Amino acid sequence: MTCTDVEQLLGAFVDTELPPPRLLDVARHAATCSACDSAIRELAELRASVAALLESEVRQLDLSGVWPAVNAAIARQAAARPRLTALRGGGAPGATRIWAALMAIAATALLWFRPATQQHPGKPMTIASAGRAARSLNDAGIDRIAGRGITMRREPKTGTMIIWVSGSGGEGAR
Amino acid sequence: MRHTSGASCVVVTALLLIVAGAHAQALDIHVTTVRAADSGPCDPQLEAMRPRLRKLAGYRAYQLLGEQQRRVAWRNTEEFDLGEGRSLVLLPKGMSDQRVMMQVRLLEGRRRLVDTNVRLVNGGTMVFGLGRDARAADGALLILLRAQDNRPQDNRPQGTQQGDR
Repeated sequence: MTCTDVEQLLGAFVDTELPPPRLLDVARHAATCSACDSAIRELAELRASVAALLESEVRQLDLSGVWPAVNAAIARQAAARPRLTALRGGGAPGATRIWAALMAIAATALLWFRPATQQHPGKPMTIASAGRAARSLNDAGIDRIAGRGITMRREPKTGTMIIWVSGSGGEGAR
Repeated sequence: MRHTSGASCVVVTALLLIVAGAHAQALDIHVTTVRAADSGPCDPQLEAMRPRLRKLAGYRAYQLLGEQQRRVAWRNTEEFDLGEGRSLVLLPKGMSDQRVMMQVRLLEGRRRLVDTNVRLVNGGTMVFGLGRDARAADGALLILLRAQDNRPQDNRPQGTQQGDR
């Protein structure tokens, strides 16, 4: 082992990353070579001072607010999750709304396409006919009428018909 | 014993059939006669109807003269006595499109005042008015005619369009 070999293995020797036989070789050379021994000691001290510096800087860091901040962040996410889930359409509340919407559509379709068998069998009841039915509680039609002095009048609201016969009207035959 | 019980069953069945048949052929007719005048008290029974009657007939005071309600058979002539020699003769012909089709004749003695074929909505009321010309003297006579068939539509007799006229 020469001083050049030790110089190349110096960092690994200080960090004890060399295999044990190589560590022994470097240590035996440094025991007999003051230059290499000084180089090893300087590098070890440098590494130690850097480590001490890093350790002191880490100790100066205030980490007391880290975990409360993490906990607060977790709590915020937990509170926001149901609302986000609902907005995305997933989960039980969203499923309920979808079912409610489907049921409403089905009920509307049934109302639209249901034939009004109670009023007129076989004839679907339209809005216009429903309106006429409401206005025609007493609706009457005249197919034929005979007599004298007859006038007819119909009340628009209920469709009630009145047939007036003047006192002097009438026909002889019964 | 067997003959007696068998005969009883036949009689009961026949009675049930007669009652059911009579019910199947029934039409409820309600005839109300009202005296209308320009002034005077109004009958409490007609107070609720007064606004409608006034709008329809134009008079202010109404007195109930009589009410008759009968269950009449289809295609049978039925006569309602209105008093003072007048009568209303009805011939219910059938149901068509939720309307009672019937012939209505208003008679005064032997005189036929009105003879008409009407299609009245089931449960509806129509009115005949008499004596409008004599309004200044003693008002008018109103005859309210209401016809209602309460049976299911399947059991109703269907009127023929041409033959009934």
